[in-house]
Amino acid sequence: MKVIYIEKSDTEIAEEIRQGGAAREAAVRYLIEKNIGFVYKMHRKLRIEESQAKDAYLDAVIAVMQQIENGVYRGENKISSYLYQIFYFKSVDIIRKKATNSEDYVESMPERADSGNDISLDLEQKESVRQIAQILEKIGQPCKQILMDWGFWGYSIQEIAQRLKIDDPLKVSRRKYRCLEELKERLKGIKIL
Amino acid sequence: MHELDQQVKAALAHQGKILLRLDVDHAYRNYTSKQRTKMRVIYQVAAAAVIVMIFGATLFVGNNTARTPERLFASYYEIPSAKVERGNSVNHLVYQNALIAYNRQDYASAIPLLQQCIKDASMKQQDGAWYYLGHAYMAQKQLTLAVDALKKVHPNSLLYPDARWDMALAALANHQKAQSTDILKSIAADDTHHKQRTAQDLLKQLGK
Repeated sequence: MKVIYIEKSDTEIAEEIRQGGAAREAAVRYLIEKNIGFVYKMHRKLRIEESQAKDAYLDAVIAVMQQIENGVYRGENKISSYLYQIFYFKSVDIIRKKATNSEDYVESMPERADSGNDISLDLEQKESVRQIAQILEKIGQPCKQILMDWGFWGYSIQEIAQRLKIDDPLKVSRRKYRCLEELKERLKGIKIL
Repeated sequence: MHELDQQVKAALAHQGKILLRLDVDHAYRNYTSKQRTKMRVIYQVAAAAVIVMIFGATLFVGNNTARTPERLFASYYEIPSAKVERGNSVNHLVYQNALIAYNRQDYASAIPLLQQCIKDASMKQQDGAWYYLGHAYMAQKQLTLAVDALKKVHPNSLLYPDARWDMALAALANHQKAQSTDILKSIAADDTHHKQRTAQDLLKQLGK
């Protein structure tokens, strides 16, 4: 089946992203689809791997989404140009990381502040996020969808109820509460709290 | 608890990213597939254009080189060399000198000598003089004069069949296609003419 995308203006895209829920999901998917040629272009231009280009592109799309949401993006540039700029710098970062992975021999170690605590904290947080993601997988549907719709896409309870074909939004609200409780319980079980 | 909320949100964002990555993969697959189709079409169009150009060039070359009267003339015409016979008479000497000059491809010298021979009614080799004068004119690209000279070769002369063939070629090169075709048709119909097959072949190439 061929999907036909209706052209959206930058104002519409920004409005839909700020609106959240179904509108945001549609706008983000539109943004991904509309500018996917950038991945192909960057993969060829900077000679980065396709998978790396895709990751950088997705990071750029999410960054654009967040900046529209936070009001950092004020519509001075076209969204596609804005996205391309971010995507370009993220791709260049990949190349830089690759380049700095090569070994450099130095006679003395450069002086740097001790960042040991920050690193361990960062690692701890990453580990927690990873564990929560694992729990979300284990909880299964509809908890995962409810939490994703609510926490990531910003759907309203009414919209989630419609998506799950549940007549009473209160039921969804209670279900969401139970899902969060279950998540916390499981986290306690693995001594994160 | 606030920290936990942040972590849950981060985990949800992580999950969201995984889902969106599937969308990126899907969109990219569609895009590259379309690109490939587009490139295939471009290559096919380019290949077709090249084939058409080669075909066109072949036709052009075919029409403008091999089948032009000049090219046909060049591919069929061979300038004959003259057989010089030694003699004692003055006329004969002029004729000998004319043929020597002709064989040396010194047509500028051969033409006035041959004309001198023709003016002298007592010269026996009149047909030979007209015949080689015709060829000397042809070598000088004076095709109308060549046709006129070759016409003068008497039908009883042994040179007459060759003169007719050469006249047909000279007329062809001179863009007198109707005249050339008429002569060629008569040669093609003449079973005794040694150029019968060649004339038939040339008529085919002329589309007659």
